[in-house]
Amino acid sequence: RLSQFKAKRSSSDETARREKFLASQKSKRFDRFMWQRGLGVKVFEEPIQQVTVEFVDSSLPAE
Amino acid sequence: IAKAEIQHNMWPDVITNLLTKLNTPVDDAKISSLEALGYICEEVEPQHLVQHSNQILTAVVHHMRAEETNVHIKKAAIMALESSLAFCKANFENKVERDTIMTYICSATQTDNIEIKVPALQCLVTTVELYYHHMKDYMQHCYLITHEAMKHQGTDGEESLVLQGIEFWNTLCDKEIELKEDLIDRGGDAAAAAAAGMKVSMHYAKGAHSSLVPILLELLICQDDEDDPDQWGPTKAAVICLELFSSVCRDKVLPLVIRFVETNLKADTWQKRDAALLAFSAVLKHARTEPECVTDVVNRAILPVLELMQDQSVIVRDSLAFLVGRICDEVPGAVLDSQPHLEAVYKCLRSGLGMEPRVATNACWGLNVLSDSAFEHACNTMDESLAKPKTYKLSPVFGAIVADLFQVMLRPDVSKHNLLAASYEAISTFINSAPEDCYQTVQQTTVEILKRLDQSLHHAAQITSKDDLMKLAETQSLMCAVLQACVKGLSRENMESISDQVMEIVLKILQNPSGSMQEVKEDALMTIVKLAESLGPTFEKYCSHVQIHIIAGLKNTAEYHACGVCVGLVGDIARAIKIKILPFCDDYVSCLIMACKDADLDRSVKPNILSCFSDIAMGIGPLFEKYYEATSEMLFHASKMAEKNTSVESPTDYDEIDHINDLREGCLDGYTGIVHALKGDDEKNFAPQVKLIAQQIQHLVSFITAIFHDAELSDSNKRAALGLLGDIAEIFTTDLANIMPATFCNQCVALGYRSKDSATIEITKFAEAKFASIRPAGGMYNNMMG
Repeated sequence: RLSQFKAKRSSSDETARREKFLASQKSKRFDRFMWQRGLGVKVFEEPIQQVTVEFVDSSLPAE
Repeated sequence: IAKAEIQHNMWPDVITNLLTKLNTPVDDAKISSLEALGYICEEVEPQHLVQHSNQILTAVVHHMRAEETNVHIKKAAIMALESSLAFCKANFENKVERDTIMTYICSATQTDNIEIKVPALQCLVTTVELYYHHMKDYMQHCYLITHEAMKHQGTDGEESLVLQGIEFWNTLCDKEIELKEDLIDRGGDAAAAAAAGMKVSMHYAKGAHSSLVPILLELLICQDDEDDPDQWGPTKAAVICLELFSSVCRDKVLPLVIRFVETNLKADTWQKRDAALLAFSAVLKHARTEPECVTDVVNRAILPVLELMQDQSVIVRDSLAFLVGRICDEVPGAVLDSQPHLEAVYKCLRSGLGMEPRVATNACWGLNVLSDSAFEHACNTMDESLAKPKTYKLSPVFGAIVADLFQVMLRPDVSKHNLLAASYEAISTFINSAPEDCYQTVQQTTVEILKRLDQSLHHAAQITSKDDLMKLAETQSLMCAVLQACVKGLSRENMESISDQVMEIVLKILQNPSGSMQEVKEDALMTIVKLAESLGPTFEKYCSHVQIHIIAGLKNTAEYHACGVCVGLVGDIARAIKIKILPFCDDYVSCLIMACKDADLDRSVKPNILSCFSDIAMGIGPLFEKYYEATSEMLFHASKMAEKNTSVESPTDYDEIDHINDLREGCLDGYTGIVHALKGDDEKNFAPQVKLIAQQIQHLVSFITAIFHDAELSDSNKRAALGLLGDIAEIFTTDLANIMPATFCNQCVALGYRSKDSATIEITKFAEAKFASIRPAGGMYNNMMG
C-alpha cells in the first residue's frame, strides 16, 4: 500500500522505459507480420521529414 | 524445511506431529507448534495442505476460545488461522463451519488486548480478500468492528488498529473494483451476469461510504510535521482508502469530499489545508474513465486551489504540486481546454520548480504529465495522415520549460528528493512528445545532452569512490534516456549527420567504468536500439562496433535485463539492415541458443529470444534455412512447455499464467517469422525452403489446440495463433484438410471472433479467408507438403 501511495505515473523512469522498450518490440514485430500478410500497415515508410534547422550551439545553460 | 519437503510429499506427518504437540500441557510447546503451523500454512502452497484443513482448523480454533487465558497462545492461534484461511475453501462453503470460523474471528476482535485485536482484524481482512462472496451474513458485524477500529485515531499505540480497520475497506474496495471491471468486460449488465452465474459486486462500499468517508477525511488531518514519507500510517492509509472508495462509487464520495475541501482549503492550520488537497487528489484517482463526474468540480476549484502554491507550509505546496499533476493526468480537459487554466497551471508548476526539492520534484512530475496529456490531446485532434502533431498547447512555452528543467539541475540541492531524476525524466517526456513546431528544442537538447555525456566521461576519469561512481551511473542513465528521446525525435537527415557522434559517445559509455553498472549499460544499449530504428539500413556501418557489446550482453545472463535489451537489439538490427545482418548471424544465433538453454537465465528473457529468431529470419529470408534446425528445436521444446493448461494447473499463480502466455507468444512469433522468411518475398512462387515447415504443421496444430483450451489464454496469443494458422493455410493449401479439418478451423475462427480487440478480429478475418482455400490434394502447391 505504501508504494501504492507513492506511485506516480512517471512515463520514463527506468522500469517504465524497460516496459516501453519490450512493448515497442512486440508492436514492431506485429506490424511487420501484418505488412507481410498484406493487411495494410505502413511500417516501412520513410518518417515524415520535419522542418530542418541547422544545428547550432545550445543556448541552454551549461551544467 | 517443511516448505521444501511437503510439496514433494517427503514429510507427510509433519502436520499431525505438530497437532499432537498442541495437546501437551506445556504452553511454550503449544505456542511453538501454533507458530510453526502458522508459518507452514503461510509458506506452503494451499493445495498441499487442503487435506489437513479440518484438523488444522479444529486445533487452531480450539486455542482461540474465550476460556484460553494465555495471550501468547491465543495470538499464535489467530495468526495460524489467518495463514490457514487460503485452503479452507471447503469449510467456507459450509454455512455451519463458516459461521463458526467467523464467530471466533469476530469474538477475537472484541478483546481489549491489542496484541489479540490486531491479528484478529488482520484475519477479517484476509477473509474479505478470500471469501468476499460469503461475507453477506457477517458484513454488519464487520462494519461495526472496523468502524470502531478506525475511530482509534490519535490514541497512542493503537495506530495499528486504525490501519487494520482501513485495510479491511481497502481490500473490500479492491475486490469491488475488480468485479466492476470484470462486469464491464462482459458487457456491463449485472443482472444478466448474475443470472449466468458470474460473481458480481455486492456494493458494500456504496452502502458504507456515507459513514466511513467522514472518518477517513478526519484521519487526513491527523498529520505531524515530522511524518516520515517512507513510514506507513493512518493518513496515508486514509488517502488510499479514499482513492479506492472513489473508484468504486465516485458519485457518492465526491460531494462529501468537495464539502470537506471547501471547508478546509483556507483553514488556519496547515494540517487542514493539506488534508483538503490530499482529499481532492484522492477523489480524482482513476477519474479519467469518467471525466464527466469531475470536470465541473475541477473547473470550479482549480484557480482557488492553485493559490496555495504561495502557502507557508512546504507540505501543503508539495501536496498541491502533486494535485496539479494528478489533475493534468486524470482530468486533462480541465487544463487544456481553458487558456486561463493552462496559463495558471503552467505558472504554478514553473514557480514550484524553484521551491524546496520535494515541491520541485512534484512540479517536474506535473510538467511531465502535462506534456504527455497535451501531446495526447493534440494527437486526438490532428489529421490522421500525420506522423505527429504540428503543434500542441505547450508549444509557445516548450523551449522555456526545457530550459527551466535544465536550470533545475544546477541547483545545489538537486540530489535531494529525487529531483535530478525527476528533471531529466520531465525533459525526456517533453522531447518524446515534441510536436513539429518544437523541433528546434529537440535539436538543441540533443547537442546539450551529448555535451553533458561527454563531460560526464571526463568526470568519470577522476572518480575514485564507489558511491560517486554510482551517482554518475545514475546520471548517465538519465542522460541516455533523454538521448533516446532525441534520437527518436530527430529527422533522418539530421540523425545521419549526428549519428557518428551519438554512437561514439554511447560506445565510450559502455567501455567506461560506470558503463559496467547495469542501469547505464541498459540505457546505453537502448540508445543504440533507437539509433538502429531511426537510421534503418545505414546502421550497418556500426554493426561491427556494437557486435562485441551485444555478444557480451547475450553471454552475461546474470544481468538479465541488459541481456534482454541485447536480444531486442539483435531484433532491431535485423529489422533495420535486413540481409546485411547475415555476416553476424552465426554469432548471434549461437549466443541466443546458448542463452535459451541457460537454466540460470531469468525466464522472462526466454520468450523474447524465441521472438528474436523471427526478426533474424525475416531479415535474411530463405537463407535462414541454415539456422532452421537449431532454432526449431528450441521452439519445439518451448512450445511443449507452453502447452500447459494454466487455468487447470496453476489457476491462482498469476506470474506463471503471464509467463506461459509470454512463452506462447514467443513461440508463435518465432514460428511465424520463420514461416514468412522461408517462403521468401515472391508472393506467387514460394521459395523451396518453405517445405521445411511442413514437418512442423502437425505439432503446431496440436500446440494451438492445446493453448486454445486454456481459459487463461491471452488475446495477443489468440491473435498470433490465428495469424500463424492463416499463414500456413495460405502456403500449404493442399493436404491440410486432414491436419486442419473444417471443424478445427471453424472453432478457431469462432474463438477469434469472440475477441473485442479490432486487431484480433482483423486477423481472424484473414485466417478465415485463408482457411477457405484449404482443399484436398491437386491444387497449386500440390507438392509443398512433400
